[in-house]
Amino acid sequence: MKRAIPILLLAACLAPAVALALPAVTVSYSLSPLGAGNYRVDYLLQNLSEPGGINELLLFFNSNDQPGADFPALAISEPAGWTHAAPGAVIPPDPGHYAWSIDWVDDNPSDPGVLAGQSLGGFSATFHWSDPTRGPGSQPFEAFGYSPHEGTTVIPEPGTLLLLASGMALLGLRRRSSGTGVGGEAQ
Amino acid sequence: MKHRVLWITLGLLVLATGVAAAGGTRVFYRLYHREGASWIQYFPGDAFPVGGNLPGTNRWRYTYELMNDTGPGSVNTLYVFFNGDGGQHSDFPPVGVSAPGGWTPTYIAPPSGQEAWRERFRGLAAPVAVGASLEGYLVEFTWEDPVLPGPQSYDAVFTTGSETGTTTPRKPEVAVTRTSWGKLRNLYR
Repeated sequence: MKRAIPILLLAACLAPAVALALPAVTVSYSLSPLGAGNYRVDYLLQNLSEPGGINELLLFFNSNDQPGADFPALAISEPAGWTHAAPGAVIPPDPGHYAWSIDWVDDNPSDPGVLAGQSLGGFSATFHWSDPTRGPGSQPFEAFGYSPHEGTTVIPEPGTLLLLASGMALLGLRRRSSGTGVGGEAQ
Repeated sequence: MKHRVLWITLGLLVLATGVAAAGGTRVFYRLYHREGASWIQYFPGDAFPVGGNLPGTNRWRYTYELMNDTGPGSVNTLYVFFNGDGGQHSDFPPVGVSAPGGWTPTYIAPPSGQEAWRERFRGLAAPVAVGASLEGYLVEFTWEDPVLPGPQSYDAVFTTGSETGTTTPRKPEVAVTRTSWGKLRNLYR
């Protein structure tokens, strides 16, 4: 029983980290340089485990409030049934600031949204980039289903999670075969 | 060694809890039920009014106050979430909504076949600056559960990102009319 306490505490401690490592919603992106300092970013929205359909996506540009993606965007597009055309859907920077955002909403009432296990592409933004010291990178986003989900866009790395899972499984097998518990005590 | 692991684990747990609890905004709510021609305020723990979940007498109202305590910037959008567990507790669309000056309310319907809906208030012309607060957000709806409507998830949006939280009930104010002169005197001693 005594041995179980540190294990339970460790599990309680790691649970939020695991939850953070496996978000319910992800947005991956791919970057295409168009020349003359212009870039196009394409986004893929993935609902991994949010029980409700995702029907709104907020994407933040220049979240460090430094020059980068110039406002306004040169072009914005979205998948069929979604829109960024509602008043206030493109949120400009405050005077003297640089951060701005796009709010895409699923405008089709008969659409169930992006359900768990589904993904949706077709979101893109084209802009001029004004920081010569670095290029465009990941951005904060927020997706709405039953509840809001915050995250940061990522470059898709399909092998990462698989690698992590197999490593943990190997560790578990090794521990079981060696017959040792946490702290190295004999079972 | 065993104790060291225990203390490190405990420390990490406390740290994680602290990080999760930190927040730059708060949203307070007041809850009212339509009774005859009046709106009666209810507080957590009050008895549920008879018919409060039945058609004709199940009209409720939340008013919200947004407090931008520490930012990181002005809040330009506020979302409040209804039926956030996916169940059917409040009906949609809302019966009525209103917003403070410079803010626009927008009802966002649930995706087809679902129940979770939300109200979005956007105030690009009058965002709530750091250190400021704003009242005047209102959502009126009909309710189907035999329990008082409670706290909700909210989301406050800045130009640089966003923050989620749970609305907090405003506590009852001191009811001066129900306070005896003796109690009033005691307040000022």
